[in-house]
Amino acid sequence: MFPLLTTLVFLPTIGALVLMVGPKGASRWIAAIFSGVTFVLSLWLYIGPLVGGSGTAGFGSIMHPAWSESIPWVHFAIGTLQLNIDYHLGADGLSIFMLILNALLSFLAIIGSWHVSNRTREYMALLLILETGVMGVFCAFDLYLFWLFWEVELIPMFLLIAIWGGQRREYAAWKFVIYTIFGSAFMLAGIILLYFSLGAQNGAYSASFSYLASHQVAGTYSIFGISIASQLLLFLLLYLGFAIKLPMIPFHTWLPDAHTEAPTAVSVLLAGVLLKMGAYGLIRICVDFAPQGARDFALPLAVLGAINIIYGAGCSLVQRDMKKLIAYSSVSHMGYVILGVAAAIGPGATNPAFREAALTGAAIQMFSHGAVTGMLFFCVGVLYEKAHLREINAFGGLMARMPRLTWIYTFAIMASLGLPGLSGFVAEYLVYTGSFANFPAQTIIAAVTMILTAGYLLWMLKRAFYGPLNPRWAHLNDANLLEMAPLVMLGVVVLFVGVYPGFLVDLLRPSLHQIIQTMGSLPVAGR
Amino acid sequence: MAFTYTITAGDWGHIAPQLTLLGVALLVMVIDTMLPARLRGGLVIIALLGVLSAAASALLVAQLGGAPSAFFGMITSDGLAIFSMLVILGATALALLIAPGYIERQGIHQQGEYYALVLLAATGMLLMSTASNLMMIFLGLELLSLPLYVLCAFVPGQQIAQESGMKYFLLSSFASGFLLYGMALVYGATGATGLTQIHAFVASHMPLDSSLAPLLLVGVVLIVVGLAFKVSAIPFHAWTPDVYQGAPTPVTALMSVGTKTAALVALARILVVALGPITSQWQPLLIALAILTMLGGNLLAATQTNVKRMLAYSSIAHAGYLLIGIAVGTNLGLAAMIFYLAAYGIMNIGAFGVVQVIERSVGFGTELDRFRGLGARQPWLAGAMTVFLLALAGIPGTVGFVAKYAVFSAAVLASHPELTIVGVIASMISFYYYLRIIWAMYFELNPEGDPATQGARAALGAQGTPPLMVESSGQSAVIAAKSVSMRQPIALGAMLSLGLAVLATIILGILPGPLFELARQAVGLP
Repeated sequence: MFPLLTTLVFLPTIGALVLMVGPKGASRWIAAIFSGVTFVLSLWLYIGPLVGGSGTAGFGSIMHPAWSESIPWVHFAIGTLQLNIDYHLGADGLSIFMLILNALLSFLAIIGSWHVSNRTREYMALLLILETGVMGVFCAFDLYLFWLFWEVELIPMFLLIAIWGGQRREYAAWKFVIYTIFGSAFMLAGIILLYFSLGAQNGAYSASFSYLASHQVAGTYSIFGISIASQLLLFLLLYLGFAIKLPMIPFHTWLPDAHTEAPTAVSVLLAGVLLKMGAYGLIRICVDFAPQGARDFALPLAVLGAINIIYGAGCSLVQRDMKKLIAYSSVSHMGYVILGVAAAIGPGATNPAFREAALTGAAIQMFSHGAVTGMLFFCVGVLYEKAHLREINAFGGLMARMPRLTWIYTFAIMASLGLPGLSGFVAEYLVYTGSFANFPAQTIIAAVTMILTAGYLLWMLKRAFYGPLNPRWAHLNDANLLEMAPLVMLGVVVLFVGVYPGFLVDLLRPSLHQIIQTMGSLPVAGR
Repeated sequence: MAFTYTITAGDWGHIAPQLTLLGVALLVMVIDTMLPARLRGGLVIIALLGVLSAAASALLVAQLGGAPSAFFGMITSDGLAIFSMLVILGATALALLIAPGYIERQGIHQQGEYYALVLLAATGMLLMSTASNLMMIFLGLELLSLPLYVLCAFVPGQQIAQESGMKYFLLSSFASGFLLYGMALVYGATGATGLTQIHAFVASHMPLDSSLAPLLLVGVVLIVVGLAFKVSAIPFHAWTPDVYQGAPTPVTALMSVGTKTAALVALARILVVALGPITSQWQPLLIALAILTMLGGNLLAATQTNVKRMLAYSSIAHAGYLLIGIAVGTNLGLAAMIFYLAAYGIMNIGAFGVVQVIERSVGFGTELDRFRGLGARQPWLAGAMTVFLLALAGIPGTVGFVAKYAVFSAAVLASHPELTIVGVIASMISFYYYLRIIWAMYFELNPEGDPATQGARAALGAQGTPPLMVESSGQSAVIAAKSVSMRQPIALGAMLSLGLAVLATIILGILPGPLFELARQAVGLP
């Protein structure tokens, strides 16, 4: 069988190598072709199982992914200590839609970076390597391999911010790296602990996802004489890495800096796919491998999610920098993912349908936020390229000079604040429906925050684009075709998901259903 | 009480390695007086042959079989002893190989004394790691310390070298006092100094009653303090960076591996073997030491700008990983620890071997700036350094990874996950400073070049002059004026030593099985 996943992961890297030896002038085209081909191939991930005949059930779950490639890699035993790492890639519904999102956004990021003229070749190569790293994270089906890709993604991101960023780029890049490494240290500790505890418990050492999902650690660990449930400790160790990436309050402070300093396309990828790595890890790794620990932590998680939502919105309200505003709105929007996951794993004898709705909502929010925030960042990027300014109050009445940009910007803002018919609404609605049963107070806080969300977004729109034209900007031209292309493509996706979310729900159902079943089989806390 | 003291030939046979080293040390001193000055460089060959024959006799002792105990239970030649002797002798051999070029550059003329003292220190290390009696442990410790005091201050006319020797002497004597006091208390409590007898006594008096417990436990704490000093575990580490920086680099390399091996093996024998019945009493102490040492060593190392000093702190951090092996209190932990010691010996001496090539005058000229662009100037040297640093960081494919892996998994299997968690986090911190050196070697070719490297430089905090350079600016200016080229010649011995270390780092990283099997057998695991 054609190794589709391997191709998707490494085709961008091959593209980066071709770039480095190819003619200098053609680097944009080479990058666009390689990422474009990757995107087209990634669509087959979705179409393949459908035409395979097994229908929407064919997307599979973590136990039986639709796509799977495995090659034995490291099998090394010293005495009784075994280390088994396989090059195991797999993709079920949850992976497939993140892989497609990543392929799409990477392709659009390259199109959207056409104007980059400083060391174009290196810039494009790094974008492609970043794509490889993120692809690897979303389709690694071996925990060690997952961690490896998780780290690989750091290097290009660091360089992209540190070299092509804004004024405080070095500070932002280091902050980003230090935060992430701090989290991934705990994650690695959790991985090693999980691997050995399971191995010692069951006699078989393996880090493959299907093994980890079908065997759960039992018992307690004693840390400095304090006894803690094994699964809770594992959950917390693993989750710290993802919480920083998500980002969850109070680990979010790297994000406004990184977003603000990064070049436009990198901000798009950062918000669009890198934050999703945290959400994906939370669902795929924390919840799947330590379900009991996840359930024990569900209430704090829901509270933190609600804080994320309202705190992010509050911060956005007072921002003067347009990019920073969107960065904080990301914090707020990722809170819905946390809340949705918390509702899905929460204690209590909730109807499984509500759990599934909340989890589906969280997953669709991942996709929706990726596309919508991508649009917003592209819009700000277009504006910044022309005006070299992001201060909201310095603009005014831009509608008169750039109607096309204003329209698409308004569209993105409507999607972001959850207007029915666009993707954000679907996600938020599902999260509210599902989480009300488990966490009513948090859900009400989240729902009320929608007012703030509408407030900061529309207020920004009003100040910058409507009203009388500030004469200082009378020379601005509207967005050209090249700049509009990624915006329109993303807009179509957002509209499509908003009108017909069924295809995403179908894609996700088998893998999420499996998680809900696991959660359902856990003993219900004494109520 | 009549005590008949008869010594058999077999007893002498058990300490053949120590005797060989001692004999060769004396031989080196005698020959030194007879050789004309220009031929004295050849003494290193005699010293090396001595170390090799000591290693051969250690293997012979292992082949001999029979009861491992000799001299009325003063000395043992069990698996642990043989394995640690081989580690120490290997480290000594590598440290001797990198010495000749270095001591010539530093203007050391008393080569005979240098080699003799190194051999004597190694003898002490062997004695300490084979001792099975508290008295012998102390004797070994003193025998290894005294030559090292002299060696640390060996470079003539350098303040930093004298500071190094003096500091080591004062603090080490102080720590010896703790150790001896602890031994006295343990003797008072148990009525024995032999480790087997102590074990028997403690095992037969479980649980400890209130008349025995205070005396014994205070004694154990003091012993741990005394040996933790030699292991350079935090908070008994303060001497390490200064002493390591001021000592001649080959001596630093030997100290960082040999002393640590001897002290850790002695500590393991006292705690895990003799005091095994009261594991629960000393375990919290060791766990605290290990955690403090891992975190503290790595955090302190991350702030250093002098590579030699950074490696000193890194050796503190590695002492923390090594202590895990004792702290878990299992035989698997011990096996992992001695495997780690072998691995650490190879990669750490390798790293110091590269540093000594770069070093100008003792303790100086090893700033991070001097490593900038090494990858272009001396690709082989930089390549070797990269291998050692990656191994120290614990990158898969190197022996350092296997060693860390063994230690961490031993901790999980002994249900001490906290040690694994802290260990992994500490290792991640260590990536930062190890990779910083690699970054400087390869990616900072052109200091005034493109914005990318400038950005990285500023962010790495490599700008400005390190404080130590300020103190000695006059001296280093003279040295800088003397050497026109940044390219350092590598002596034949150093090349051989580095080559061997690189090969061992990689080969043992890919095929660790046989060595780990040996380590398991050494501690008596099936």
